Amino acid sequence: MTRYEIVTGSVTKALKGRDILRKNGINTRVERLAENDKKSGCGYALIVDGNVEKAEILLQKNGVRVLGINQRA
Amino acid sequence: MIYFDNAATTAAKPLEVIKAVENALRNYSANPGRSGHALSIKTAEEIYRIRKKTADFFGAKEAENVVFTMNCTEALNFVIKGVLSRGDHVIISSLEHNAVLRPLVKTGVSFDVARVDLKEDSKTIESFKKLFRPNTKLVVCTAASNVFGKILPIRAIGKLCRERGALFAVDGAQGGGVIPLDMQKDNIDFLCLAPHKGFYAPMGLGVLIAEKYIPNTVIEGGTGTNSAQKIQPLELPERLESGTLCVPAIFGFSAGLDFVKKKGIEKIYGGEFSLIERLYKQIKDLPWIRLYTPEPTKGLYAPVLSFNYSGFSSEETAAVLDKKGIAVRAGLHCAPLAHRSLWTEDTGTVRVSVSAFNNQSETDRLISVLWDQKNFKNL
Repeated sequence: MTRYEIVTGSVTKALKGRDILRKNGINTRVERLAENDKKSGCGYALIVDGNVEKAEILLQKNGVRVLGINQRA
Repeated sequence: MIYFDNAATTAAKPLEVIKAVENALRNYSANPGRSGHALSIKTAEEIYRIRKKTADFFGAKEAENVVFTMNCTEALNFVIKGVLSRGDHVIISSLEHNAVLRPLVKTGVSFDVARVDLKEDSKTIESFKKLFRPNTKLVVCTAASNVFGKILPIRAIGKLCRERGALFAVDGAQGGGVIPLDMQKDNIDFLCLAPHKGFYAPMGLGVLIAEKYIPNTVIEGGTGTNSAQKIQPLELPERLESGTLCVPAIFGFSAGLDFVKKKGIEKIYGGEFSLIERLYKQIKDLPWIRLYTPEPTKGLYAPVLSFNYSGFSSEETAAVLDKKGIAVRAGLHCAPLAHRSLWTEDTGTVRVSVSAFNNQSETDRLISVLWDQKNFKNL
């Protein structure tokens, strides 16, 4: 299964997103970004295995802005 | 020592608060929201949990609306300087602290002062109502006076703000933990708190609950994210939280919140109020004591009482009490506006303020010192 990191605006938003996803049955954890984004710099992401579209919709719907989605090795 | 200076800060702290601070220092001493290692994430998780708990307690919409500041004054500065711009008009109450007055004067915007009636809230509401203008952007008022204890009709003032499209900021320094405050029910947009008072937390921490956007920031700096950008993040709480948080104080605040919830805010207020009520009744007929407020009514007054001892300055009276082992605060209490409204600007007052840790034998000791004029003879 493909692993993704969903980039959030801050550790607070990442933790809020974690609670939302877990409440909706999506297993996730908060991690530091694997690589710094050149435009925005360092940040935090939610790590999910598959199911990334559903996760993104849930996050956006609940006020967690998704800044990007990267595939993790 | 008998400590009656709880409106400045509560000196006696619950054991749970002390333990929570120790726990933070021993087990959560990494910087939250800065690094990716386990200890930093673990600390960030705990801080987020405390934001949620705080949001729940005050009826805030989202956990991220809870911002940790250095103190309540900083929180008020963030709001006043953050939302106002040239051409705006502001209304404040006649009982405001310098934490409201000074930043407001600094902004240079025009403002009016609504007179607080010490007996009838309807008159206070009317006083606010008359001052609204089409350009009134913000109303700031204290939940309870730090000098005279008067609780303001927050909910009704908040309703006026809603009806007239103004933002509503509440200085909850004295009200937080003592009287119920709810962002939704009370129509509050910005609530500023001093957790080291009614929540028994360590000093060095303030809380701002911001339900509305704050366009201008007062302090900028590192927030742990978006570091390549030269401007502050737009999202709360990081927008207003530059620099490292005071994690041990936040843990202490969390334990203080639990303490207040467990004991019950009504019970805490009831116990504190009965001490002040008893003090008032016992000294009101002494010819050498001057009181400034009507006899406090439950629900209308916070557990704070101001008085003066005839022939002595407020500072001299406080010094006599200090010699007797009773700690009170004299002077203007950083609230000259409040003193001006009760004609005590030149003399100041002696302020007695109690906490959940005071008891009747302590107020009785104060009463006996005030009753016995010999204590004031050989000054």
